[in-house]
Amino acid sequence: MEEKTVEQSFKDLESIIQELEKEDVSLDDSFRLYKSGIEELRQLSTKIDETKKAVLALSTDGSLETFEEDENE
Amino acid sequence: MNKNIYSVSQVNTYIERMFADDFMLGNISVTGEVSNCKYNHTGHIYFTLKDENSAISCVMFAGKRPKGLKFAMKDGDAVVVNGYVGVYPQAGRYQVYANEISLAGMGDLYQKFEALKEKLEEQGMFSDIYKKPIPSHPMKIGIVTASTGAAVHDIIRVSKARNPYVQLILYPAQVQGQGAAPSIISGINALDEMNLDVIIVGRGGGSIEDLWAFNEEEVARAIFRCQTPVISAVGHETDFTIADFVADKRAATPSQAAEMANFVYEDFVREIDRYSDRLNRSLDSKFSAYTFRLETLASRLKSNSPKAKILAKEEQLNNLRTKFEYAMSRVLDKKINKLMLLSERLEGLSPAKKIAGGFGYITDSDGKKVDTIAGLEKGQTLVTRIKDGSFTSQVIEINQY
Repeated sequence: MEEKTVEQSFKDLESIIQELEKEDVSLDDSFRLYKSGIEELRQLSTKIDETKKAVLALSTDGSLETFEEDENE
Repeated sequence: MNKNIYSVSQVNTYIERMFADDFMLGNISVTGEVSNCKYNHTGHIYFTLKDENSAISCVMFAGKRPKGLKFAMKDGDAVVVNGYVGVYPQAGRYQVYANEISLAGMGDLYQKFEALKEKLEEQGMFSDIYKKPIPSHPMKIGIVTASTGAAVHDIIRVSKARNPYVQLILYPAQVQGQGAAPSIISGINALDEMNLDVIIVGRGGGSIEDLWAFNEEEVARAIFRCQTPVISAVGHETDFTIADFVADKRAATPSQAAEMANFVYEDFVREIDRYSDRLNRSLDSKFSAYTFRLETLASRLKSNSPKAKILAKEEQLNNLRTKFEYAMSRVLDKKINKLMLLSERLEGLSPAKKIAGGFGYITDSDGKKVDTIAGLEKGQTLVTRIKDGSFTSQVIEINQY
């Protein structure tokens, strides 16, 4: 699946729910919509990698290392 | 020979008026090097402004100093003096009455700033059509600033407070002095390669010279070229740099840039929960709508099922049977009654009744009624029935009446 932005996911979710909230949606379609809505939600939650990340500093040779702030500054 | 003779005062007053009436002398900026600078005990400053060939006396009165002079002026400074040229009649001297004195370099910078701003603006580099939107939920944010100091500290602090899971990547740049502009440009280029969501370019507050790198054309062009959306955050609220104009978004301070770049994680979680609730609620309501329809149909179907029809027929049959039985029993009762009445009447006619009181009913041995002597023979057996029984006898004698 192509990488989707968070706002795109929110947009898609919004339209899925609006579709689902319509009166004349068939039960089959409801299940299908619900399933894709849940999938969208799952993707949204996993999009945010909930591990705290260290600040990285990019050095001139292109390598990344952990950036420690000098508390005395 | 001129006939008119004037007093010194008259001449000086005349010249004073001439100067005062002159448009150009009324508001003039003069640049030169300070010499002979004297701070009078009353607070006035007397000095001479000179260039290679010429000199002019200047004075700045104490009252002008708080607004007009922001640095400790000393001999040798190259300055721009703004004010008017007037006459001091008592000495017959003209001098510059200064309203504002600034270092000449600053004037240069300001002019350069204005010139570059105009040039880039004409090229359309500040146009809104080139402004890229800042994504609503950046997860990877680049920072081009000095690795020490308030700016990087503020950006990290504000970012982590809003979203503890954001990935910050710092390009430690030299943000002032010789080499600052190339350093900032490499930072922008390097981070632009990293496929980040947004880049913050900036530094904390400082003098116009300190912030100057952000007014360099090459920095502006690097920001303009950058594919990743750029938020500029240079100095304080009041500082505007070329970088601010060309960036996709201008933040007043580094802290504000971090606020713009980072979404609030808790809000995001709440938003997801809201969506999840809505999704479940809408399916639930769909379900209950369908359940309701199903129940309605089920009860309609039930009420139309053959079983119900059979039951109804059965009930009808039962009713009929009951009615029929009732009617039958009534008929029967009537018949029974009639029968009883008849049997009572019959009983009244019974031969048994007739054979009371000494009368009997006589038959021959075959049960045939005997009511005449004709045919009787001596020795014949006869049966006589009376009220409570019967007996058998033999004919002994036959007498004719």
